[in-house]
Amino acid sequence: MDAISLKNVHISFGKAQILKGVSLSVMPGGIYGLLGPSGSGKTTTVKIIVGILKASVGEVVVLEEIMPSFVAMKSIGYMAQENALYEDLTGQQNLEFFGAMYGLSGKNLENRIKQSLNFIDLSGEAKKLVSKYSGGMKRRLALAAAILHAPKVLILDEPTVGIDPVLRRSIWRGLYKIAQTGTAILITTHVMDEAEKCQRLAMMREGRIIGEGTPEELKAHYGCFSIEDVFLRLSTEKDEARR
Amino acid sequence: MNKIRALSMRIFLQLLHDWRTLAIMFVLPLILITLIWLVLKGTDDTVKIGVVDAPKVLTQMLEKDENIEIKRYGTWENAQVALDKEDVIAIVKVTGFADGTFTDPNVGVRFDIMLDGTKGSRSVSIEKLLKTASDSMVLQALQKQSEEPFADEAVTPDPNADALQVDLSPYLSVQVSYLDDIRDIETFDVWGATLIGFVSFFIVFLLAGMTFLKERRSGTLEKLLSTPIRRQEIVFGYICGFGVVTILQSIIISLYVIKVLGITMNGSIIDIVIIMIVSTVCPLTLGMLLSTAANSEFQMIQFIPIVIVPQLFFSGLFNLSFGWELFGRLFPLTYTADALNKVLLRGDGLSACLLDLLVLLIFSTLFVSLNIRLLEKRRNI
Repeated sequence: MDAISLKNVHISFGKAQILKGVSLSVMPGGIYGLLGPSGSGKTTTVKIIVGILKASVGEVVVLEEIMPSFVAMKSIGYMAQENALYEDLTGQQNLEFFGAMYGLSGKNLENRIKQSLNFIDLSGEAKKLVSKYSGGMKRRLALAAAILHAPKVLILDEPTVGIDPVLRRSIWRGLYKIAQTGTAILITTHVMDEAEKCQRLAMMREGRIIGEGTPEELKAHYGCFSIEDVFLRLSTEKDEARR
Repeated sequence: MNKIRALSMRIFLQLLHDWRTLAIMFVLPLILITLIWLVLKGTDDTVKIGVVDAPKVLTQMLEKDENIEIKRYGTWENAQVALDKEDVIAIVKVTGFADGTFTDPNVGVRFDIMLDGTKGSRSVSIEKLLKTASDSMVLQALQKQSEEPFADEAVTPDPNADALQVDLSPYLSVQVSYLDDIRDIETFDVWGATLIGFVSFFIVFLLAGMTFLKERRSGTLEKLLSTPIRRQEIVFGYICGFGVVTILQSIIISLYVIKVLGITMNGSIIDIVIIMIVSTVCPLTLGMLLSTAANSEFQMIQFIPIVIVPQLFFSGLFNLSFGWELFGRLFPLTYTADALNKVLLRGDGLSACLLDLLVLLIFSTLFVSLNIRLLEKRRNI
């Protein structure tokens, strides 16, 4: 059973059509990459999966619930492009708040906060105000806020933007660990080398999926050496097709 | 309920870490109200009262107050000229009294008081002061009389008794008139109540609006909307979190205005606090509503001249024609000012303000439900 399934999803804001028939399915226990330039509709797709936006046309099912659904939202973790943290609270207070939003409380909440802080290696800084955090620390705390309630579906919108390579590698290592517990992870990126780390990839452009498969499949199919080449190839093909 | 509690707790904690906002919440209103009070009170504390044929007993009694200066005039006409030129705020003429007693006990004493009506509450308080002085002057004279053998045995006032217990009307007649009587429009206390309501309204509106806007601009609202919290839980969480703070603010403002500044206060202080608390729900919910509707901080600022400033003009500061007065009823502040005035000036109880409070709650409910609806724009569920 797919953890996330989108079928022919359209959405428009006013006259602007942002998604023009997006279909994709994400299995539990893997990292699925959504690759595309900015403005291609990645974030909109993600927001529809999370339940913030509603598709104008098409079917969105997450954890066997038609979105938007409060039942499914309980088991979705979301890390937005912005850090979305309360700067005038401490790291600990931020996590306590978001935990309560997912219905965690008492000992359970305490344990989950401890585990999440350990996971992102921020235990020592939990009592500090977030406004005193560095950019990388904020990003890690935002990740902790997304995994706090042990979600079955984890959506990460450009999680490694502005993060140094060392930290990026450790975050990826963490993501693999989370995926091994059976969590379905969907990650958006426009960094090509990150795309290679995903188990499956969908390439997006102008509100459409232009290619889908494992990185190896894609490279082999288009006869390219890197994902970047595949993406460029697909983009030019589309342009030619339009002319 | 847990989510509402967590959300209000969060807002409370955020405020604790933000001393600027705390200062705006608790110190700024006191400073603004003090400034308003200083301006409306006027700079010159001495009050000049013109007297014609006044007995020594009266002038001595009045001059006990350091702020009162007595000017003597030969004739009533001269005194009136002085009043007209605003040399004095009030003039008094006493007839039928000499050497600490009545010239004719059967006629009694007559006070003619004329006041400058443009001085607002000061005129009113001088009128009160002169009336009290005339009462005690007559009482003293009656006491003196009763000590003498040929005293009128009908009146033997106990010197410890309250002046009000004795019917002075056979011995005293007071005629009060006003020159340019516009005291109904401008009494300080009427302004005071409206302005206190306004200061609190403005500050709560701004803070609630800005905090809610910040929630949106920092991306935390979106993060919040990705959790299974319901829209109404967000709105009520905010109301509860800010509510605690605005209750504190209401208590502080009320105590300060009544105990420190000594505004005319004839009602109960608890009633004032309750009115203030109910009144702050309105700017709280309106601020949130407009920040949901606004797309930027700048748009939020644009709402101030549109929503906030007109309230000041139409909520009872000025005497309005009937049509404009009806228009004023569209603004919540009108009801706050009305309720405050009832308790402060008229000494009414809360029961007299129930309608005002009800209207304020209806406004708030309207703002809340509109806000919950508008939040649907941010998340479709």
